[in-house]
Amino acid sequence: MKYIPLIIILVIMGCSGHSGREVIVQDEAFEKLSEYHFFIGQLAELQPNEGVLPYDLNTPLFSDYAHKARFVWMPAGSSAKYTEEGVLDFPEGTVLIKNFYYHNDETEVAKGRRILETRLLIHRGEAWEALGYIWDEHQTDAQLKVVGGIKEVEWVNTQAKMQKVNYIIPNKNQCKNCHATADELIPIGPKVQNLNKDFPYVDGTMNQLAKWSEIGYLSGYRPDREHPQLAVWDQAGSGSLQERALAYLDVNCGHCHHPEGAANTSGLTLTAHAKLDKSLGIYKPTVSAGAGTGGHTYSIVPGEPEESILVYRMRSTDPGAMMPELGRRMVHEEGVALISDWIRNLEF
Amino acid sequence: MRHQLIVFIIIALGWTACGEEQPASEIMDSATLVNDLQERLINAQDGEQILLPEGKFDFKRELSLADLSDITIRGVGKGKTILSFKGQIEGAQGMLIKNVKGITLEGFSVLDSKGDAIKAQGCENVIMRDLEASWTGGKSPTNGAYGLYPVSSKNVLMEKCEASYAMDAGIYVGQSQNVVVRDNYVHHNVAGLEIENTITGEVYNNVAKNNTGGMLIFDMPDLPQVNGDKIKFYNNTMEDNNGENFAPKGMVVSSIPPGSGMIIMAHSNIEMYDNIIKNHKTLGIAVNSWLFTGLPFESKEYDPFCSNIYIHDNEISGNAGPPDATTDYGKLLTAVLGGQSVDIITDGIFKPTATDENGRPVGYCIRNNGEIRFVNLQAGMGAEPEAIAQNMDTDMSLFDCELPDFDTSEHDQWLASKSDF
Repeated sequence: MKYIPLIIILVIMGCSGHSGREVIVQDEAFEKLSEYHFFIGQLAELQPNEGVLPYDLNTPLFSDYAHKARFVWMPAGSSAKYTEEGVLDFPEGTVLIKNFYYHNDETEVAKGRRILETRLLIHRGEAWEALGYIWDEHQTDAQLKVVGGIKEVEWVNTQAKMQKVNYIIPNKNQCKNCHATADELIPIGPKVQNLNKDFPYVDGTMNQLAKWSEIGYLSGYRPDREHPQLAVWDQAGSGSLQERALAYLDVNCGHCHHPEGAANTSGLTLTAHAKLDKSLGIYKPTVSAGAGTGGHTYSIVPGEPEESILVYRMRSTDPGAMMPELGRRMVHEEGVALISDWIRNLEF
Repeated sequence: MRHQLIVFIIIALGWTACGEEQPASEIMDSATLVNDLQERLINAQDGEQILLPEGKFDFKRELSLADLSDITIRGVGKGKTILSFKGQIEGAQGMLIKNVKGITLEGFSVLDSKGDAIKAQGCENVIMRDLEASWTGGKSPTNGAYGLYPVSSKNVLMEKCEASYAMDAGIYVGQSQNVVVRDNYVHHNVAGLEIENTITGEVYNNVAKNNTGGMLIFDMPDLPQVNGDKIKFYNNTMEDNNGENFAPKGMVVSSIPPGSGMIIMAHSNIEMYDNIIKNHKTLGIAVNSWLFTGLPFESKEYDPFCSNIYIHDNEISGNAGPPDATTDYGKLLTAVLGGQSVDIITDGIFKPTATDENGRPVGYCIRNNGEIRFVNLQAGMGAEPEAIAQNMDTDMSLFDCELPDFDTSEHDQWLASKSDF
C-alpha cells in the first residue's frame, strides 16, 4: 500500500534522473539541495525519499508566520536514543531537514506556496553542522549559502489581509546563536515532549514517537509508559494557560535563555519547567536590556502585561529592542496575546 | 663550534617563535566589502588576519564571528574605516564576536548600530584597540546600549578607543576576568566607562567628559558571575560629566544623576588613586551598596555591599551645585544637601560583618583627597529623605585609614606574552 504512490511517481519521473536514488550524505556539504536526494520527483513538492520521515512539533518557534516542513533521515540501521530530557540522542549521520515556506494565500492554499530556504542540521559525529540552502525564484533547487540572505515575501494571511516582509535567512554564525548550549551546536525542536503528538502519515495517523520506534528511528521507547508532552501553545485543550505560555516561552526563548545559553548573561531563564520566580523574570530588574525596557522596570509584572518588559520586547520590531533578537521581523500577535493573557492572570 | 651550534639553535627557536605570527593578508576590496565581509568572517580559518580598507561601508545586517582562534580584524584607523549600521534591519549588535580565543579588533569605527556596537562574548585574549563606537544622531534613548562591550571574557585589553552617545555605557566591561582598560576617551554617553561584575583589572589613563556619569564600577546581582573584585583605578580624568540622563527608564543607569564623576556600587577591593575629578554639579565620588537602589535580588552568593574600598590621593575640584533634581538620587541629594554638590558621598550602608568594636566600618578608607565636602548619608538608619536629613553626617574620621595592596598582576603576564606590544 505504502509503495503504490512511490511506484507511480517513479514511473512518471522515470527520466528525471532523481528517481530511484538513495539519499546521499557525504562528509562535504553539497552545493545543491537536490544532490542529497532527500526528495523524489519535483524538488519543490517535498515528496520524501525512502527513509526520509516527516515530523511536526507540539509548539514550534515563530518565524514570521512561515510554515515549516520538517523531515528526519538517519543512516540505515541506526536510531536515536530516547532521552528523558533535552533533545533525542541522535546517531552520527542524522540529518534534520527543515523547509521554510509561505502559502501564497492562507485562505486558499491551493494557490500554491513559495519555499524560501531549507536548513539542514547534519550530525557529523563530534558536532552538528548547520547548512542553509536558499531556493531559486523558479523553485527548481536550492543553493548552499553560508551568508544567508534577505527575501521579500508577500502573502495573504488567514484574515485575508495582504502581508509583506523582508524575510531574513540567517547566516551560519547566527544559526549557532539559537542552536547552542555551552558553545556546542545542537538541534532545538526534537525533544520527546515536543515530538509526542499524532502525525498524519500517508499510511495513517500515528503518534510520532511510536512511528519513529516502529521504523527503527527511535530506541529505548516504551509504548506502555506515559511520556511528557509539551502543551500546544494555541490549543486551549492541550494544557492550562500557564502550561501553554511556558511551552511558548520554552520554544521561542529557552534556547538562549537557559543557564548554558547565549543569554545567560541576563540571568533570565525562560524554559517550560522554570520556577515561577525572579529567574523567570517575575519582578526581575534588567541588566542590559538597552532600548528593550520600553521604560519598564521588570521583565514580568504579574497582572500587568503592559508594564512587563517581556511583552514590550515581543511586540517590538526594532532590532535593538526586540526579542528574539534573530529570526523575526514581524510581531507574533497571537503569541503576544497568549503571554499577555498569562501575565494578566499571574498571581504572585 | 659547540657554542655556534647552540647559538644557531637559539636563533632557530627564535625564528620559529616569530613564525607563529599570523600569515600576511591582503586588504579587502572596498568595492565589494559590504557583500564579502560576513562570508569572510564565516569562512575564516584560525590565525587569519582580516584587513579592512579605508572608507565608509553601510551594513544592513549584524556582522558576526564565532568559534575560532587568533583572528585579527584590522582597519586603517578609527574614523577612516567606518562600518555604518544606520540602515540595519537585523541583529542586536553591529559586530558580535562569540567564543573566539584570541581576537584583536583594531583601527575601525562602528556607527549607528541598533544595539551594542561591538560585543565580544565568551572570548579569551581580547584586544580592542583604536576603535570608535558612536551614534551620529546625538543623544537618544533609542541609541544602542553599549559601545564597546566585552562580556564573560577572560584577558581583555582595551586601549586608545573612543566611545560616545551610548544610551547606557560607552565602554562596558561585564562579568570578565583580568582586564586592562587604558588611554580611552568616552564622552556624551549616559555612563562613560563601566566595569561591572569583573574580577581583577586595572583601569588607567582614561578620560570621561560630558557624560551623565563619568565612570562606574558596579556589581549587580543574579548574574552568572557576581561579586566583582580587585580593580585598580588610577590616573583617570572625569570632567564635566553633567549631561542629561537619556537612558530609558528601567535601565540601572537611568538612576544616575547628571553631574556624577564616579560611582562605586557593591564591588569589592577597589583602590582608586591619582585621579582627577572636576566640575560636577552633583557629586564627585559615590560609594554605595546595592541595597541603596531599593531593587531586589535573590542570589545567595551575591554580596550587596562594597568592601575594601580605598580612595586616596585623588584631585577633586570645581564641583558645584545646584545638583541634579531629575533622578531619585539627585532629588534626595537636593533635599538633604541644601542645593550644594558633594565631593565624596557614601550611602553609609556598610557590610554588617565588617564593623569593629567601636562601630566603625572596616574596609572603607578615604584619605588625602584634599579639602573636600564629604557626606555619609547613614541610609541604613532609614532611606526616607526625612530620616537621612536627620541621621547623615560629615564625619570623615571613621574613614581615615589605609588598606593593604592586592594583586592584579595576572594580566601583566598575559600582556607580556603578546609579542605585538
